Amino acid sequence: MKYNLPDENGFFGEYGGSFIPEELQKIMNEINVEYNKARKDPEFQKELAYLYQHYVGRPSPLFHAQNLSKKYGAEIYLKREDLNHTGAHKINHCLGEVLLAKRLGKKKVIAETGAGQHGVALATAAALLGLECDIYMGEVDIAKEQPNVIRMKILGTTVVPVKSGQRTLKEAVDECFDAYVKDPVTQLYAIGSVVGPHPFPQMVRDFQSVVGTEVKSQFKTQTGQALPQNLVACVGGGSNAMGLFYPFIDDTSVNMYGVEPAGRGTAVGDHASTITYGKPGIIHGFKCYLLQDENGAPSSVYSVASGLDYPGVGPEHSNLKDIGRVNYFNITDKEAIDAFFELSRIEGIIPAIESSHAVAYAIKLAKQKPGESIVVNLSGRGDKDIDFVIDNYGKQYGIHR
Amino acid sequence: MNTLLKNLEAGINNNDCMLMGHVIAGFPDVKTSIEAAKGICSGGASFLEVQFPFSDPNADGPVIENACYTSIENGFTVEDGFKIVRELSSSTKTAIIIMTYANIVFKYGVQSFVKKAKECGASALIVPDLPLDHDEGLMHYATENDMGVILIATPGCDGKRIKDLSEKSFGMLYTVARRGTTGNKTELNAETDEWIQLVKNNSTKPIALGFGIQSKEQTDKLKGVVPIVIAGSYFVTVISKLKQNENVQSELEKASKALF
Ligand SMILES: Cc1ncc(COP(=O)(O)O)c(C=O)c1O
Repeated sequence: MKYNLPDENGFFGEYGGSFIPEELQKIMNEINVEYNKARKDPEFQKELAYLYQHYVGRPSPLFHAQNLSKKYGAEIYLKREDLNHTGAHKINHCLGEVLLAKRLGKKKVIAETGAGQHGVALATAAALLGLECDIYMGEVDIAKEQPNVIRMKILGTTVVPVKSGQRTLKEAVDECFDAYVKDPVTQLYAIGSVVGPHPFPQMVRDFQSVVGTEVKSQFKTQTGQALPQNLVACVGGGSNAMGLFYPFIDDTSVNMYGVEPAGRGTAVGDHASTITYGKPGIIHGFKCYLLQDENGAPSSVYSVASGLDYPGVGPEHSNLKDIGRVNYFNITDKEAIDAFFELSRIEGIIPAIESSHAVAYAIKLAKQKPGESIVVNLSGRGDKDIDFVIDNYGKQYGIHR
Repeated sequence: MNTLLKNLEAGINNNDCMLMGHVIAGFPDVKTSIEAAKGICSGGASFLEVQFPFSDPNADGPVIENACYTSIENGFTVEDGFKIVRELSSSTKTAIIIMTYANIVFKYGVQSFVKKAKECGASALIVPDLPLDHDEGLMHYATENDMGVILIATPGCDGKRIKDLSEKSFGMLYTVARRGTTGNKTELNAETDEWIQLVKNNSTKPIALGFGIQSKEQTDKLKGVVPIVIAGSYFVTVISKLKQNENVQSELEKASKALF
């Protein structure tokens, strides 16, 4: 049977849906109606395709990483989302969301950001398409991701520091929700991943699926084989992973691996391995695997990658886990940082720390599956991370300021 | 008979302007929240919302949000919440309503949560992020247990939606006076008048009007307009400003009476 989710109420199996106050529900319904019109509107698709090609620089290359392949024994391909304008996959859904915001007559887009990649991408799309933009960001992340904060400000966006709780991604979402409830009429909450109430998980996935669709044809052209054997992507909320996986879901010969952050240990608060350790719960308007305590309070989370430390995960991933279509594993901070340097030094590509988690897992997989093809979604570039990496790990790799 | 329905009927028959108060369970601690609640009840509240704190209360503003954080940081458990409800429902005549968010109920198990609420003497439930048509069985289980779910109408609802919500809501229709989260003062102006009128014209149940009510001046204007007024952040603010050695119950009783 062909995969056809979500259902009309936004459920992927038992996950997803729309668990929000009455006030927001009405707005979500309007967004859903308009999105479904836009999806089928050739003009909308044409405009998006034009921007993908001439503004973002799509298609992004699929690069056969021969040095890495030779060293670890499998055929590793990198989907170079790091080469997109703004340096990550996030621009793919931001352009879609901002075009939709314009169709809906909104004046402003607002969003949370963790690593700052979604914030920069949204600020960029808003600048291009003439909308105002407010980005909510935890103070901890602001300190860690200064270059992206500055970029957003240069682009004319207001960066709102979030001071509550752990001062990272979850609190940024909380505060952005609050701002949205105050004025859902002139603003659109352009959610940064395949999370949130229906239709966001579907919409962001659809916008990101350009990644997997390109991989399909690029892989065939380059190798003459119909399909890759393995796909690997890191999972924070899960947008880059859904973008790569979605066009392959019905191709059952393709193994898919989602990589979560194992952080610095297995204790609560030391990781953000939501699917690995979480239980079903409801957060930020949708049902998903959730790291939570016995009272239902979301747990504190940690990862070296600011873009991955979220206690929930996309509802579609939650379902793909339950139906066994995607395998989920996790990678520690240390493994990710090792991979960060490995890819930099043998392929000349500095990956985002988020994407380094996927690279680290691909290296493990290569050793288990010699000779097989592995496509890794290199979701972003590491420029934003260099100061943080050098300050915290430089010495171990022989680098001094 | 369910206490909420009983109090509602009495108030409507007497043509009263009834009060719905609000406390955060476990804020600033379990004992104080019980005393404060008793004060609000003896001050004349016909209904009291006891909010089980959740870390991400997405219908609430800063006052309630911060109180929720404090309660959680002090180690609030859902069992504490039920303990508070049990104590209040057995020692006051006020109808106790549990207000909380979806994940608290979901994690506990929707059916178990409702049963436990009933066993502790709660009259009704309010869960803003469990929507009418996808409420995980909340309304079904509540009805089964001689309780109900109070639904919320917010500005932006049209007449038909107001009618649907009111038909399914338990006893009364919780009506939010204006857009946004709880806490800010509501100006009772032409726009709110128009909204209240729309709700009155379409609701099949009495209206409980809330958000931002904090003075007698406001409730005076609402007398005869709506049968129930809700004061939430007002009471939470009073509780957060209590000084050491103050008699919690009598301070809150005063605060409750000051609204009328
Ligand atoms: C480069 C990069 N990859 C991955 C992620 C994680 O997001 P998602 O799981 O939605 O792809 C982020 C988030 O900020 C990111 O910046």
